[in-house]
Amino acid sequence: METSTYLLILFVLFIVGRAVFADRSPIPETSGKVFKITTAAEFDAVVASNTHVVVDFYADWCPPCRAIAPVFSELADSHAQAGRLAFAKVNVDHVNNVAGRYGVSAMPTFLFFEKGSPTGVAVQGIRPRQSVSLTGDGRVDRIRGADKAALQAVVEALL
Amino acid sequence: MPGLKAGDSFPEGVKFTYVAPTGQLDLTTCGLPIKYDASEEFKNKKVVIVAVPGAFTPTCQEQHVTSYLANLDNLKAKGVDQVVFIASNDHFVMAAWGKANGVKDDSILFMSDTGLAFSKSIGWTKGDRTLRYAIVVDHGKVVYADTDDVPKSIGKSGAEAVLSKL
Repeated sequence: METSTYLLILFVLFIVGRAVFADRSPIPETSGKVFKITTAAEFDAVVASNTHVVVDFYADWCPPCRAIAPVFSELADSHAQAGRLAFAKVNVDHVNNVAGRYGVSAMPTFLFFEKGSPTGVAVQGIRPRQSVSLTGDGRVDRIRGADKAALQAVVEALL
Repeated sequence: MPGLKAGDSFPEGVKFTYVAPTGQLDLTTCGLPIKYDASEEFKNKKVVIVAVPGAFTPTCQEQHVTSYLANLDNLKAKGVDQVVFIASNDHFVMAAWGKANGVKDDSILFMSDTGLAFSKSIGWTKGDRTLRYAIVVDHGKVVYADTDDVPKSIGKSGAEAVLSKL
Protein backbone atom coordinates (compact mmCIF):
# COMPACT_ATOMS: atom_id res chain seq x y z
CA MET A 1 0.00 0.00 0.00
CA GLU A 2 1.10 3.53 -0.63
CA THR A 3 2.29 5.81 2.17
CA SER A 4 -0.74 8.03 1.73
CA THR A 5 -3.06 5.08 2.36
CA TYR A 6 -1.20 4.20 5.57
CA LEU A 7 -1.43 7.81 6.66
CA LEU A 8 -5.14 7.85 5.92
CA ILE A 9 -5.71 4.69 7.94
CA LEU A 10 -3.72 6.09 10.86
CA PHE A 11 -5.70 9.31 10.70
CA VAL A 12 -9.03 7.48 10.76
CA LEU A 13 -7.87 5.31 13.67
CA PHE A 14 -6.83 8.44 15.53
CA ILE A 15 -10.21 10.07 15.14
CA VAL A 16 -12.14 6.91 15.97
CA GLY A 17 -9.80 6.04 18.82
CA ARG A 18 -10.30 9.41 20.44
CA ALA A 19 -14.05 8.98 20.38
CA VAL A 20 -14.02 5.37 21.50
CA PHE A 21 -11.52 5.92 24.30
CA ALA A 22 -12.93 9.30 25.39
CA ASP A 23 -12.97 9.46 29.12
CA ARG A 24 -16.41 8.70 30.51
CA SER A 25 -15.22 7.57 33.89
CA PRO A 26 -16.52 9.54 36.86
CA ILE A 27 -14.68 12.83 37.19
CA PRO A 28 -12.42 12.41 40.25
CA GLU A 29 -12.93 14.73 43.20
CA THR A 30 -9.67 15.44 44.91
CA SER A 31 -10.87 17.83 47.57
CA GLY A 32 -12.36 16.54 50.80
CA LYS A 33 -14.07 19.90 51.19
CA VAL A 34 -16.38 19.59 48.19
CA PHE A 35 -19.90 18.32 48.92
CA LYS A 36 -20.75 15.66 46.33
CA ILE A 37 -24.50 15.99 46.19
CA THR A 38 -26.46 12.80 45.58
CA THR A 39 -30.03 13.87 46.37
CA ALA A 40 -32.16 16.99 46.24
CA ALA A 41 -32.62 16.81 50.02
CA GLU A 42 -28.85 16.83 50.49
CA PHE A 43 -28.61 19.86 48.22
CA ASP A 44 -31.24 21.73 50.21
CA ALA A 45 -29.40 20.90 53.44
CA VAL A 46 -26.08 22.22 52.16
CA VAL A 47 -27.46 25.52 50.90
CA ALA A 48 -29.43 25.96 54.11
CA SER A 49 -26.48 25.39 56.41
CA ASN A 50 -23.89 27.52 54.66
CA THR A 51 -24.20 31.24 54.00
CA HIS A 52 -22.50 31.08 50.63
CA VAL A 53 -22.37 27.98 48.44
CA VAL A 54 -20.61 27.75 45.07
CA VAL A 55 -22.34 25.00 43.06
CA ASP A 56 -20.83 23.20 40.06
CA PHE A 57 -23.46 21.52 37.84
CA TYR A 58 -21.56 18.95 35.77
CA ALA A 59 -21.68 15.60 33.98
CA ASP A 60 -19.00 12.91 33.72
CA TRP A 61 -19.20 12.82 29.94
CA CYS A 62 -18.59 16.53 29.51
CA PRO A 63 -14.92 17.33 28.74
CA PRO A 64 -15.02 20.98 29.87
CA CYS A 65 -16.38 19.79 33.25
CA ARG A 66 -13.45 17.40 33.55
CA ALA A 67 -11.06 20.20 32.69
CA ILE A 68 -12.30 22.60 35.34
CA ALA A 69 -12.74 20.01 38.11
CA PRO A 70 -9.19 20.44 39.49
CA VAL A 71 -9.65 24.22 39.57
CA PHE A 72 -12.86 23.83 41.55
CA SER A 73 -11.24 21.35 43.95
CA GLU A 74 -8.31 23.65 44.51
CA LEU A 75 -10.60 26.61 45.24
CA ALA A 76 -12.48 24.48 47.77
CA ASP A 77 -9.27 23.36 49.45
CA SER A 78 -8.02 26.92 49.73
CA HIS A 79 -11.17 28.80 50.64
CA ALA A 80 -13.90 26.59 52.13
CA GLN A 81 -15.01 27.75 55.61
CA ALA A 82 -17.53 25.61 57.45
CA GLY A 83 -20.87 27.37 57.68
CA ARG A 84 -19.70 30.39 55.73
CA LEU A 85 -18.44 29.32 52.31
CA ALA A 86 -19.04 25.86 50.91
CA PHE A 87 -18.44 24.21 47.57
CA ALA A 88 -20.81 21.61 46.12
CA LYS A 89 -20.92 19.55 42.93
CA VAL A 90 -24.16 18.33 41.41
CA ASN A 91 -23.92 15.53 38.83
CA VAL A 92 -26.85 16.37 36.56
CA ASP A 93 -27.24 12.76 35.39
CA HIS A 94 -27.64 11.47 38.94
CA VAL A 95 -29.49 14.38 40.54
CA ASN A 96 -31.43 15.68 37.59
CA ASN A 97 -34.29 17.44 39.35
CA VAL A 98 -32.00 19.98 41.02
CA ALA A 99 -30.47 21.22 37.76
CA GLY A 100 -33.91 21.71 36.26
CA ARG A 101 -35.01 23.79 39.25
CA TYR A 102 -32.45 26.48 38.46
CA GLY A 103 -32.73 26.51 34.70
CA VAL A 104 -29.34 24.93 34.09
CA SER A 105 -29.05 24.33 30.35
CA ALA A 106 -25.34 23.90 29.78
CA MET A 107 -22.46 22.38 31.70
CA PRO A 108 -20.52 23.25 33.60
CA THR A 109 -22.69 25.95 35.11
CA PHE A 110 -21.63 27.62 38.34
CA LEU A 111 -24.31 29.15 40.54
CA PHE A 112 -23.69 31.14 43.68
CA PHE A 113 -26.10 30.60 46.56
CA GLU A 114 -26.52 33.00 49.41
CA LYS A 115 -28.82 32.03 52.27
CA GLY A 116 -30.41 29.30 50.19
CA SER A 117 -31.12 31.03 46.87
CA PRO A 118 -29.04 31.81 43.79
CA THR A 119 -27.82 35.37 44.22
CA GLY A 120 -25.71 37.61 42.06
CA VAL A 121 -22.18 38.32 43.28
CA ALA A 122 -20.67 41.77 42.93
CA VAL A 123 -17.23 41.30 41.40
CA GLN A 124 -15.02 44.34 40.91
CA GLY A 125 -13.81 44.83 37.40
CA ILE A 126 -15.32 41.76 35.81
CA ARG A 127 -16.11 42.24 32.17
CA PRO A 128 -19.28 40.68 30.81
CA ARG A 129 -18.65 37.95 28.27
CA GLN A 130 -20.39 34.94 26.78
CA SER A 131 -19.66 32.75 29.76
CA VAL A 132 -20.47 35.31 32.45
CA SER A 133 -24.05 36.50 32.71
CA LEU A 134 -24.75 39.56 34.81
CA THR A 135 -27.85 40.60 36.69
CA GLY A 136 -29.53 43.91 35.94
CA ASP A 137 -27.29 45.69 38.45
CA GLY A 138 -24.02 44.26 37.21
CA ARG A 139 -23.56 41.33 39.60
CA VAL A 140 -22.46 37.94 38.32
CA ASP A 141 -25.58 35.81 38.04
CA ARG A 142 -23.93 32.60 36.83
CA ILE A 143 -20.96 31.28 34.92
CA ARG A 144 -21.67 29.03 31.95
CA GLY A 145 -18.71 27.04 30.76
CA ALA A 146 -15.25 26.18 31.96
CA ASP A 147 -14.15 29.78 32.54
CA LYS A 148 -11.37 29.41 35.09
CA ALA A 149 -10.60 33.11 35.43
CA ALA A 150 -14.21 34.10 36.01
CA LEU A 151 -14.71 31.35 38.58
CA GLN A 152 -11.61 32.40 40.51
CA ALA A 153 -12.67 36.05 40.42
CA VAL A 154 -16.12 35.31 41.79
CA VAL A 155 -14.82 33.04 44.57
CA GLU A 156 -12.33 35.71 45.58
CA ALA A 157 -15.14 38.25 45.73
CA LEU A 158 -16.99 35.96 48.14
CA LEU A 159 -14.12 35.82 50.63
CA MET B 1 -55.96 9.53 10.69
CA PRO B 2 -57.42 12.16 13.03
CA GLY B 3 -54.55 14.61 13.31
CA LEU B 4 -55.18 18.18 14.30
CA LYS B 5 -56.98 20.89 12.37
CA ALA B 6 -57.39 24.62 12.48
CA GLY B 7 -59.62 25.63 15.37
CA ASP B 8 -58.58 22.82 17.72
CA SER B 9 -56.93 23.59 21.01
CA PHE B 10 -53.39 22.38 21.30
CA PRO B 11 -53.45 19.30 23.55
CA GLU B 12 -52.33 19.46 27.16
CA GLY B 13 -49.36 17.60 28.56
CA VAL B 14 -47.24 17.60 25.41
CA LYS B 15 -43.55 17.45 26.25
CA PHE B 16 -40.46 17.27 24.08
CA THR B 17 -36.80 16.87 25.00
CA TYR B 18 -33.98 18.89 23.55
CA VAL B 19 -30.41 19.94 24.13
CA ALA B 20 -30.22 23.70 24.58
CA PRO B 21 -27.96 25.32 21.99
CA THR B 22 -24.72 26.63 23.46
CA GLY B 23 -23.77 28.85 20.54
CA GLN B 24 -20.42 30.49 20.94
CA LEU B 25 -19.75 28.58 24.14
CA ASP B 26 -19.53 25.32 22.17
CA LEU B 27 -15.91 24.72 23.08
CA THR B 28 -16.30 25.27 26.80
CA THR B 29 -19.74 23.90 27.55
CA CYS B 30 -21.82 20.82 26.94
CA GLY B 31 -25.51 21.25 26.23
CA LEU B 32 -27.81 19.68 28.75
CA PRO B 33 -30.92 17.75 27.69
CA ILE B 34 -33.95 19.49 29.08
CA LYS B 35 -37.68 18.88 28.94
CA TYR B 36 -39.73 21.37 27.01
CA ASP B 37 -43.29 21.62 28.23
CA ALA B 38 -44.79 22.40 24.86
CA SER B 39 -48.36 22.78 26.04
CA GLU B 40 -47.30 25.38 28.61
CA GLU B 41 -44.91 27.23 26.34
CA PHE B 42 -47.38 27.47 23.50
CA LYS B 43 -50.01 29.15 25.64
CA ASN B 44 -48.37 32.54 25.25
CA LYS B 45 -46.53 32.26 21.96
CA LYS B 46 -47.10 31.82 18.26
CA VAL B 47 -45.19 28.70 17.27
CA VAL B 48 -44.65 26.60 14.16
CA ILE B 49 -44.03 22.90 14.86
CA VAL B 50 -42.52 21.06 11.94
CA ALA B 51 -42.28 17.29 12.13
CA VAL B 52 -39.89 15.46 9.87
CA PRO B 53 -39.56 11.70 9.38
CA GLY B 54 -35.88 11.87 10.22
CA ALA B 55 -32.99 14.20 10.91
CA PHE B 56 -30.40 14.21 8.14
CA THR B 57 -32.72 12.36 5.72
CA PRO B 58 -32.52 13.74 2.18
CA THR B 59 -35.79 15.67 1.74
CA CYS B 60 -35.74 16.92 5.32
CA GLN B 61 -32.18 18.11 4.95
CA GLU B 62 -32.21 19.49 1.47
CA GLN B 63 -35.58 21.17 1.42
CA HIS B 64 -37.33 21.27 4.73
CA VAL B 65 -34.84 22.86 7.10
CA THR B 66 -33.44 25.09 4.41
CA SER B 67 -36.90 26.46 3.61
CA TYR B 68 -37.31 27.54 7.23
CA LEU B 69 -33.80 28.92 7.54
CA ALA B 70 -34.42 31.04 4.47
CA ASN B 71 -37.78 32.30 5.70
CA LEU B 72 -37.07 33.02 9.36
CA ASP B 73 -37.40 36.78 8.93
CA ASN B 74 -40.64 36.40 7.00
CA LEU B 75 -42.03 34.17 9.71
CA LYS B 76 -41.01 36.64 12.43
CA ALA B 77 -42.69 39.41 10.46
CA LYS B 78 -45.92 37.44 10.70
CA GLY B 79 -45.58 37.18 14.46
CA VAL B 80 -44.03 33.72 14.81
CA ASP B 81 -42.08 33.56 18.08
CA GLN B 82 -40.52 30.15 17.65
CA VAL B 83 -39.96 27.42 15.10
CA VAL B 84 -39.61 23.93 16.54
CA PHE B 85 -38.49 20.95 14.49
CA ILE B 86 -39.37 17.54 15.91
CA ALA B 87 -38.63 14.00 14.84
CA SER B 88 -38.51 10.52 16.31
CA ASN B 89 -34.71 10.85 16.68
CA ASP B 90 -33.36 11.40 20.18
CA HIS B 91 -32.40 14.84 21.44
CA PHE B 92 -28.66 14.36 20.86
CA VAL B 93 -29.23 13.56 17.19
CA MET B 94 -31.56 16.54 16.88
CA ALA B 95 -29.01 18.83 18.51
CA ALA B 96 -26.32 17.59 16.11
CA TRP B 97 -28.67 18.18 13.19
CA GLY B 98 -29.22 21.73 14.33
CA LYS B 99 -25.48 22.31 14.55
CA ALA B 100 -24.94 20.68 11.16
CA ASN B 101 -27.33 23.24 9.73
CA GLY B 102 -25.40 26.06 11.33
CA VAL B 103 -28.12 26.95 13.83
CA LYS B 104 -26.21 28.16 16.86
CA ASP B 105 -28.97 29.97 18.66
CA ASP B 106 -32.60 29.38 19.48
CA SER B 107 -34.01 30.72 16.21
CA ILE B 108 -35.00 27.16 15.35
CA LEU B 109 -35.11 24.62 18.15
CA PHE B 110 -34.52 20.98 17.32
CA MET B 111 -36.36 18.65 19.64
CA SER B 112 -37.11 15.02 20.07
CA ASP B 113 -40.72 13.83 20.13
CA THR B 114 -39.58 11.36 22.76
CA GLY B 115 -41.05 7.93 22.05
CA LEU B 116 -43.23 9.54 19.38
CA ALA B 117 -45.57 10.45 22.24
CA PHE B 118 -47.05 13.56 20.69
CA SER B 119 -47.18 12.35 17.10
CA LYS B 120 -48.83 9.11 18.18
CA SER B 121 -51.37 11.02 20.25
CA ILE B 122 -52.56 12.80 17.14
CA GLY B 123 -52.18 9.79 14.91
CA TRP B 124 -49.63 11.31 12.54
CA THR B 125 -47.00 8.59 12.50
CA LYS B 126 -45.85 5.99 10.00
CA GLY B 127 -44.11 3.05 11.60
CA ASP B 128 -41.33 4.33 13.82
CA ARG B 129 -41.27 7.81 12.32
CA THR B 130 -43.48 10.85 12.36
CA LEU B 131 -45.28 11.91 9.19
CA ARG B 132 -44.07 15.11 7.58
CA TYR B 133 -46.34 17.81 8.97
CA ALA B 134 -46.54 21.36 10.18
CA ILE B 135 -48.75 22.80 12.92
CA VAL B 136 -49.10 26.47 13.74
CA VAL B 137 -50.20 27.15 17.31
CA ASP B 138 -51.19 30.66 18.27
CA HIS B 139 -51.51 31.11 22.04
CA GLY B 140 -52.86 27.60 22.55
CA LYS B 141 -55.08 27.44 19.49
CA VAL B 142 -54.22 25.49 16.36
CA VAL B 143 -54.28 27.86 13.42
CA TYR B 144 -52.99 25.49 10.73
CA ALA B 145 -52.20 21.80 10.69
CA ASP B 146 -51.50 19.66 7.66
CA THR B 147 -49.45 16.70 6.51
CA ASP B 148 -47.50 16.13 3.35
CA ASP B 149 -48.71 12.81 2.00
CA VAL B 150 -46.76 13.02 -1.24
CA PRO B 151 -43.27 11.62 -0.66
CA LYS B 152 -40.45 14.15 -0.92
CA SER B 153 -42.86 17.06 -1.05
CA ILE B 154 -42.96 19.89 1.46
CA GLY B 155 -45.92 21.54 -0.22
CA LYS B 156 -48.02 21.55 2.96
CA SER B 157 -45.36 21.73 5.66
CA GLY B 158 -42.62 23.86 4.17
CA ALA B 159 -42.07 27.45 5.21
CA GLU B 160 -43.77 28.91 2.15
CA ALA B 161 -46.91 26.88 2.76
CA VAL B 162 -47.06 27.94 6.38
CA LEU B 163 -46.41 31.59 5.54
CA SER B 164 -49.30 31.60 3.12
CA LYS B 165 -51.61 30.58 5.96
CA LEU B 166 -50.44 33.15 8.50
